[in-house]
Amino acid sequence: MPKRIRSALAAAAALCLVAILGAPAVPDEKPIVIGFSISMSGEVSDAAGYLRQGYELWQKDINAKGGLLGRPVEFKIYDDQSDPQTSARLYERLITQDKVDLIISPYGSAVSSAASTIAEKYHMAFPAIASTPALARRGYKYVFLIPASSRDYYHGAIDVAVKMGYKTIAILGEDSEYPREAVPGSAEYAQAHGLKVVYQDFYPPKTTDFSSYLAHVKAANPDVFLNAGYTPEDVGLLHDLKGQDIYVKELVLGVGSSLPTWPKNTGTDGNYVFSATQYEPFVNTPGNKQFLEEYEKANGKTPDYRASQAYGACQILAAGVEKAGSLDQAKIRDAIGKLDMTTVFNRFKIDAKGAQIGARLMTTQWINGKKEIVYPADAATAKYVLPTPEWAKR
Amino acid sequence: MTSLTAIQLTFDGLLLGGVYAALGIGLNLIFGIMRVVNLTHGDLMVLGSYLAFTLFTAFGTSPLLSLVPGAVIIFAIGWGLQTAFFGRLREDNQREVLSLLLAFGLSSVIQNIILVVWGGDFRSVPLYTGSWHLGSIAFQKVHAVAFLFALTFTAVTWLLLHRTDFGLALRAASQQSSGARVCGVDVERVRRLAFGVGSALAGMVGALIVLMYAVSPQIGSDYVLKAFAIIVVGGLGSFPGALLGGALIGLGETFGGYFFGGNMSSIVSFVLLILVLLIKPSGILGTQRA
Repeated sequence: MPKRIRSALAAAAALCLVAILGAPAVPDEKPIVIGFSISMSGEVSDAAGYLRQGYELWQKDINAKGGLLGRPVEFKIYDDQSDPQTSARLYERLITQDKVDLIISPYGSAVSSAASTIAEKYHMAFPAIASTPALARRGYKYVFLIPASSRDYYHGAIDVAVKMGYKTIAILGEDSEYPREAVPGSAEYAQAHGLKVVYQDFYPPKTTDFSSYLAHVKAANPDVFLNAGYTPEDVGLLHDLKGQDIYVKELVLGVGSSLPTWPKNTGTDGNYVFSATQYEPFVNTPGNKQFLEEYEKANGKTPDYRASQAYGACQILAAGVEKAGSLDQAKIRDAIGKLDMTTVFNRFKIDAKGAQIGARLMTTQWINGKKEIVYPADAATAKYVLPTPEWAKR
Repeated sequence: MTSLTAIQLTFDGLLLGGVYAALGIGLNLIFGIMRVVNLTHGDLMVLGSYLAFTLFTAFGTSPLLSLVPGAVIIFAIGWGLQTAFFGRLREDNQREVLSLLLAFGLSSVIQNIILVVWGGDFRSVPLYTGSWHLGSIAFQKVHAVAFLFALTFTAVTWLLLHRTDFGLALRAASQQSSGARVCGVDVERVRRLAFGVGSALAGMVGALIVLMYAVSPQIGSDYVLKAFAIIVVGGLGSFPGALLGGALIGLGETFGGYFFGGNMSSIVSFVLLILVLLIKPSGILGTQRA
């Protein structure tokens, strides 16, 4: 073959090879990446752990069913150390650098609040796992709440107190997002229903010694005591209440007392404590039985309501995406605004501002190391035990 | 405020101060005397808490008993830290600052090791809750034990420092290490022992802390800051000073919190620290050091 034709053929072959190898991969199976930060350490890490497990279970389930919009779902996760500023930074990174397709929420009102600001800045739909209604008061368009408002958390416990004829209540709260709503919300509701608030204060985050606050509580001698805080504060207060010989007829504590680790951390002292919940493993929501089975198989323990909250949040987001038929955040948010459905967690319906108006709150009490729903009556699994037995008899 | 409340608050403050002072003893050995800015002190305390928790969960052992094996393990870790890390710092006037940076890094490492091994959940051991009573004044049981611990070990450590050869050698090595060497003191060995003892003390306090509060891997940083504040207020290297510093800060927190509420209580300790540094920088019972 003449030299010129041979080299032309070689060049053509080389070009074909390059074209074949360099051709972009068929985009059909490109995964949808969902980004979020989670508290793997720090104050809310125990509660956040359940959240993550709920998310991961949902991911497994949806991928088994063929994915979202026919594409597999992947997660991109960072540790926010329970710190709001860190979370904000991480979401900025997820959106601008990692360029995730969707975002979901970290745990807790304080951390989610910070992350939601970033979500709004970049116009990304954000299913916030935060109970503070303040999140819906900022005029944000893309942020909406999954849980019921923390302002209403303890209404049930107060209803019970009023039913029992109690007259006075003392309220303490950590100076952070959820208690800043829960404390005044509870105080207002109490006053409106004839329960006098004899003492009310906030303590700074990371307080371990409560003797100065309890000196006031002891002097006021209330029938009911309420604390809105997380695990370290609930445990610390329980110890200090017993240590200072403060007896109250009804003891209502915060997030720490709602977690499954409560009996282990507090032994018999933690019995008969009331807390707020929005889900328990034995409720009758659609798909809950299967959710429970799979969760226990994957994690070797019963889920806390935060796990079901996470699962439910993803169900909502997925419903919005499927309805919008795309990853356009504005369309997704609009679709979600029109939803009224019940997830594994609870009913979901939001108002125009993104506040949760569908989810239902319930009140629980630890009875003999087991958490029972005691109010409202139609959801109750056991009758409440009041007045609380003396310390020595718990 | 009734007089009963005032008395109760006073005892609450003193007992609280006892807890802080207990943590300060070991730090006084390591920072007060050896001038190593040991930011890992709080984390070693937390390690003691987790060891006590693990022994309790696995065997039902009371933390008051597991104080002993915990102390031994953490003594070894302290010895190791001095040998592998702090002992390698050159003895020039940058040593203190460098020890701070080194300890800061080590603190992060230890906290994350604890996080990996035990997870981030809060842990507490629900034993000995409740109080003893003297009339109508309540003394929370574990706080009272911690207070007695602080008194006892302050005395023991003081005796160790002032009545034993080891103590003499440590003080000599800390004042003038070259001079001490010339006198036949094995400076490195003495330092390792001191670091080990100081760390073991922190570990023991940890076993008490897990009975009082819910612990998590990060809380060491908060406690170590308080412990530093106490020994500076009381006087670096002064063991009675640490007790005094603890008492002042404990009382400040309880009374400050009672009268001014909420956020003021944590401001009190640091205002006290600032005042002492401005008025008598060597601490209330401290002596001027060359």
